[in-house]
Amino acid sequence: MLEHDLADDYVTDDWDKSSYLPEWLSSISHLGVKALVVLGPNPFGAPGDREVFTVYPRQHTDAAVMLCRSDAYGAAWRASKSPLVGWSNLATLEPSPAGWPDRFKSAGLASFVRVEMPLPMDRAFECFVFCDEEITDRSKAAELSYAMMSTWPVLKEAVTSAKLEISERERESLVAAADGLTAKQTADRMNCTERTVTHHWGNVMRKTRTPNRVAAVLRVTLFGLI
Amino acid sequence: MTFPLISIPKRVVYVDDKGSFLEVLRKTMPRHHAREFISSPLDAVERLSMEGMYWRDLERLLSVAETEGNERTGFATRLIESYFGNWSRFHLTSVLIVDYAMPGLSGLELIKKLSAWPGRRILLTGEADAQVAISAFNAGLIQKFIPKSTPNLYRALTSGYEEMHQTVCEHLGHLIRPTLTPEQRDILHRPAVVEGLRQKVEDLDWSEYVLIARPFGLLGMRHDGPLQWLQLETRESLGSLAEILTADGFAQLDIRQVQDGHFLANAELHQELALPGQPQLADAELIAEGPDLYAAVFDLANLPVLSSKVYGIDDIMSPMEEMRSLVRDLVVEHQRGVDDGELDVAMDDGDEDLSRPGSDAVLSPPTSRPAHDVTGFDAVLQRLATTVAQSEMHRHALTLVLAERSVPPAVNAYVQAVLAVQQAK
Repeated sequence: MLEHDLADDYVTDDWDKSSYLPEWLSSISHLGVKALVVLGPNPFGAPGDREVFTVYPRQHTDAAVMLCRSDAYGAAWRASKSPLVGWSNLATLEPSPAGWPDRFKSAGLASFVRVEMPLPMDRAFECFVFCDEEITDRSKAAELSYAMMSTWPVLKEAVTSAKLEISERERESLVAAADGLTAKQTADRMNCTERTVTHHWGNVMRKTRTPNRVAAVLRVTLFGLI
Repeated sequence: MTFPLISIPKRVVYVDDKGSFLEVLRKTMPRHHAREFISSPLDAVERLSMEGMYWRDLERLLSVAETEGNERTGFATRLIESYFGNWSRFHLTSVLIVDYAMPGLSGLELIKKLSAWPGRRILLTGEADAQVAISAFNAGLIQKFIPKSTPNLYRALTSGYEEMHQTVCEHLGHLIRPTLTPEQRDILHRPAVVEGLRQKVEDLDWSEYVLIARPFGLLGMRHDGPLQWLQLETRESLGSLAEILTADGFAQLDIRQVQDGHFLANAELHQELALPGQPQLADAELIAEGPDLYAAVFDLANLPVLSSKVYGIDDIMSPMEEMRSLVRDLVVEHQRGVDDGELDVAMDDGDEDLSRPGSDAVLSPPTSRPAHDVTGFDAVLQRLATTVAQSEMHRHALTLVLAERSVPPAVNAYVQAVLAVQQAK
């Protein structure tokens, strides 16, 4: 068993507060979906740094963390121009030293479909839906992918807002920065003082743990917040 | 009169080959700042040359131009990391006081070897050296010369180096000036603001500070810490501060108090330094009127800064310690005078009638004494008068010292006279 504090390093989302996930899962339960894992970029890390954004039900947390820490898919997968969509049966996977396939198998799961949602700057969300039966043909995988893609916009909002929250005024100030406006011009656009504009920018830099305005704009762009 | 944008810790180096004279200076010159006494001119050259690196680091630190909101951290962060957390600032000698007549290396030769050292130089001269000193002054080698035979050498020295230290600080301050907005530059030139800021720095008993343009205020500290933030707001900028507090979700009631100049909040510094918890509110004080300038003090505890006390400059004394030392010297000198039969015997009987020179005469010692003799009862009393004149805090410290120890009535009478003269001013 992984220690819980280790899991906590990787699982920082607040999905318990969101009623959306159980609802989402039950809406596709007729397809045999039993679990969902979303891996995403560490908002403050390098391109390869990923963390568990969501795991549901939570009993799979340890397995999700093992998957996240393994070298399965992720940055190397993207760099090799591999497909955005794919499926596997856990039983037919090569034994992995990371141990995550066995962990999911012992929890009664048999297969998964992986759908990647690309983000700027070599980052991506990786959504894994696990089923309790093996997948035998492509049409089942296609149906699951379709379900994932069609609900992604709502799911994305639920999983990202817990990671990074900025106020509406902060968002406006960043849009202005992205448009190339100076503090003075931004202040005119937002009808406030220059001092407040730089304060908004400072707040976002602090939240995104970025050292300057350019990096802050890129970070929030990464999450589609502007 | 200007307000220097930076005030570095005061450090005065005295160089004289005559150990006895240095010893007198060590005992008598003010101790509320760092001092060093060097009897070998060559040692002095070596020590002061070593400072070059520290001076260049400081000039670099102060010269970096501010950017408007591009970086998360600004001047305040850099100052805390590289200045207030750095011991090298205690090794910046602002004033060198050197004797002209020294065998081997003369005072002027010593100074010529220090071309890269940016501090101010005061030459101590004998009767015959006036012409040498004048030409050295005209050549820009020295900024002042003081004949050792000056009737009031102590006062000439202290006022001389205070003025020089101020000049050094003003020069360093020019490096910060480009970061100021035109409004800030304007307000810092107003006499009322200069006076208000001076008074505030004195009240806070700071031994050093640096002005920051964004956010506007002073970072400063006493010789025993902690680092403090004196936030400054004009009547006009109170509105923009209130706007920031609105964005940060402060309570309406607090925001109105800020708008009216009752409180200030350290929201910007708090953000930049990523201080724990919420930004704080502190009582605002109107330190200048027309243009109005508001100030509030915030203690910045738990930052990795180094005070001179922690660093271990043991020569430095607080007003309280300095007053204790002076009163102790005064009592000792008084006792010695009584033993020598020099002082009026009547004084020892507790007669408080001031038959001896009055408080005005105290300020100029009898001419019969050797001019540079800065010991003796009169001299100590005169030092006490000069020290007391420095600030209200020193006067208060003196009354506390008088309350905590017993002082012969005669001595007490003199001290009271000194205090009375100060209060009359």
